[in-house]
Amino acid sequence: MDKHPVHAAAIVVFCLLFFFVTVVGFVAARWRRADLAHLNEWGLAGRGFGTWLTWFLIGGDIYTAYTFIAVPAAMFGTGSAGFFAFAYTTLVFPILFVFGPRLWAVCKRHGYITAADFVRGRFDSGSLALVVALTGILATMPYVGLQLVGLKTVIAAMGISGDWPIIIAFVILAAYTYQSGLRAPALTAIVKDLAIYITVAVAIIYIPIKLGGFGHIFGAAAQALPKRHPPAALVPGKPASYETYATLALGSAFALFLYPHALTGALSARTGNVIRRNASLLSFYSLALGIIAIFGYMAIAAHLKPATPNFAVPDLFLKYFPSWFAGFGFAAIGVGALVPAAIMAIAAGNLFSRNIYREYLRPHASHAEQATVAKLASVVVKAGALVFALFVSTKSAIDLQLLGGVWIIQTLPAVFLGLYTRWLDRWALVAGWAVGMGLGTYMAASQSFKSAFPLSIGSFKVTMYSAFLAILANLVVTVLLTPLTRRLDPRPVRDETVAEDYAEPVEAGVDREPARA
Amino acid sequence: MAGHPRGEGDAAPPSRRRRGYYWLLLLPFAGLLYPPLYAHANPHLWGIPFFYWYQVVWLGVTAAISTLVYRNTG
Repeated sequence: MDKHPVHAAAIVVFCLLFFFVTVVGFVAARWRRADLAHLNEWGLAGRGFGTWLTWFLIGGDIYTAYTFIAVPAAMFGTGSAGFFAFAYTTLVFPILFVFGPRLWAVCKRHGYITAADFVRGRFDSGSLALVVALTGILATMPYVGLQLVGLKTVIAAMGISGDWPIIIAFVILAAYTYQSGLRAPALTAIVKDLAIYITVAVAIIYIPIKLGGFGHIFGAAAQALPKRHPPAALVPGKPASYETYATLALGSAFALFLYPHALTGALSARTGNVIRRNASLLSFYSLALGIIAIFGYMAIAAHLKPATPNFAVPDLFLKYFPSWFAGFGFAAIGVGALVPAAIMAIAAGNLFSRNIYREYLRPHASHAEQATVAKLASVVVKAGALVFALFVSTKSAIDLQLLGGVWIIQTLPAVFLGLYTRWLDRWALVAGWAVGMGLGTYMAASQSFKSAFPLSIGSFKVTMYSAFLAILANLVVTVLLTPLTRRLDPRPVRDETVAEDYAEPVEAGVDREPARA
Repeated sequence: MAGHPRGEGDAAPPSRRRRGYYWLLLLPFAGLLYPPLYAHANPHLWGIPFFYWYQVVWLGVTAAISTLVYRNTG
């Protein structure tokens, strides 16, 4: 992994940009000054972000360092199968458009900070909320750990070995997140995204010229991919690969905005309309993602032999860019690790504080106490991720991240369907969740953590994303058990919410930008 | 909180009247979730196989649909 020579100019540029981001992270505490001892301020930045900040925040949140490394690595290694990530990030926006503003409205009305808060209020069930909160924390941890894999990769590409750079980076990250809360990743996301867009724009113009055009790049991929083990293809050709592609795209799209960090980004918007506007604007990030995916094919056309597929993009930059600009691109990816890691840790901290600490340990905790607990929990999450990144193999980290996706989608019935109906029973939701978790984990593990599961019932055979099959089982169990469990626990459900809470408080002119942009 | 509770005499909000636009948001799913529809190499566009540029076109169409629905509802 450490065969790279030292690239001094790259390291200097990388460190400068990193230092700048650190300063921004600490200064963020003073920006839009408010009482950071209140969880609504620390954990959701006062729900005050307008269209542009939300755009940077959600973009910085879901297009992570791991994405920039792993998607082209998947294209490099497995060809078209890896491109589902593009279809998935296209489909995610109609989903955000429909569910986002509704969830935002009810959370704003009742002061909910997390999805589990909403589930608790809607279904009058602390147990269901606990299940949603634990799933969120569990699914987030390996995701934070994987950000470190991205960071480790670019640092190793510059010729620096050892774990100390990552330890330093995460001490800095933990410190400014503790101090500034969600304001820090929001401001640093601006730096990160500008750096990413500059890098991608330069690369997509310059490298294809050097490689003789897109025709040559795709031609080289078409020749090389069938020789991979197992053979890959430039265009999917088998029914099994169609089913896997489609269910991976659909399942991942529905899972994304159930992740605590993605929801935290959406809930910090100032109005529901900010979210709706972002559903179109965020497609610029998907376009960048599509281009970054093709970097994997450029690495093939450039005859690169990276130590692991994760080095496809770093090696491509090192080959075609001057050292200092490669460093700039690496810094963009590196900061791209810190932004989502901060939001993930904040989101997990919010969940712990609201749905475990306040719910079970200190029911009358003050706002200040809740905020302190969330801050400390965010540090614990980051420390856990660091341990995870230092002592768990990259392979296991990726396996766990896959499991995270399988798990988080099991909260869909309670969170997304809960926005539309209170008909589902709380205990049936818990049972459906348990079945989905168990079945999904079994399916993923039985395939040694490949995402697709070959299901065969009699003559019916499909190969589909295990999260997709597991959520189907979850939904069936939830719906079938609802009449039964309601009879077993006939206590009335005191739903705190009413239909009007879900409607956006939209009136002409109310949320016009940018009084406080 | 943006806005005030609506008065009794208010007309139905626009989001209710124009709900129909929301159905358009299903189109990207129809366009992308049946890969046999687009899992072809030809025709190429600037050397890019159909499979890839077809999906990029859908990204643009999806953004346009979202904008259309945004402007006509709420």
